[in-house]
Amino acid sequence: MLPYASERVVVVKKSDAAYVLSAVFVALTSLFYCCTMWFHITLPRYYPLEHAWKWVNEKGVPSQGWYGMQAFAFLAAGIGTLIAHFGLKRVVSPEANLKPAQIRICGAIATFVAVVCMGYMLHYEFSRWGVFTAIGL
Amino acid sequence: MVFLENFYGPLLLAHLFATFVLVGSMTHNLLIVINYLRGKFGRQKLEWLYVRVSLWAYSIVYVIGVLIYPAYRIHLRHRYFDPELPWATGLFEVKEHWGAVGLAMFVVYYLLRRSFQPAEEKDKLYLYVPLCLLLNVIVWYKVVVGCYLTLLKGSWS
Repeated sequence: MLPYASERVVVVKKSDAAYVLSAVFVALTSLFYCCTMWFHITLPRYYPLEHAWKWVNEKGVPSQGWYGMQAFAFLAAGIGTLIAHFGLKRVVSPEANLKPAQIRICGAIATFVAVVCMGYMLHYEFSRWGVFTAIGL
Repeated sequence: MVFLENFYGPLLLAHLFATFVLVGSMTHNLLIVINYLRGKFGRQKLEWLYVRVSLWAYSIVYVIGVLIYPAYRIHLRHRYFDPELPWATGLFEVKEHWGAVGLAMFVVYYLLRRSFQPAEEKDKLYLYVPLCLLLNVIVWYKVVVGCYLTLLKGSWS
């Protein structure tokens, strides 16, 4: 049995919202992760030899900043996506559906941001650790 | 003593086996998703199964990776790769950064796939297909670099 027209609108709307928020979260996670590199944000680091967490980067002592970078990116992107969620609720009418062009642009922007950020991560680490030099670039 | 260093070998093997499942399911997933671009939507159920298997496999790979990272950081990276082969650390660092971003992408990929029907909402393939491609790039990079680094130095004595 076909659903009522109003039900169909609700189903499509939920799907559109999920799509937009997915795109926002992907873009923001990539962006905030890169921010930790761009701005050298000080985050908690794990020191495996001491079994301790510290909010400083002690030179010469092996430590792991990766956990903190992820936590920062996921949290910041989560908050950003939540803001986008409430923003969408307020700005967009419940009956409105996204136009095909808007859906495409939204997907393309999120993909573009993710690709640029991944490229930046690669360039940052390859330059820092001499990978480009090792392969003759 | 570093966290879980006595279990590094078995955990690394488990990491590898879960990666086999991950790379298999994601690659098959990509082959079906590429067919969506040609207007062929005949294997959606199988594709949805691959998405679920991939998410679980990625989660397992990720958790094991997080657990064995301290032992790797001290015994392999700090004592061998950083001073002897710094470029290998560069390859590894990208693997870790992409892996972290990939986790967010995987969750989004799963939720997105759950929320739409590819045959009926073709415009949404503008995000879905690139995400699938990016995840395959990440997964394959992790497999190749992970295996290569293990070949260079996989354990310590």
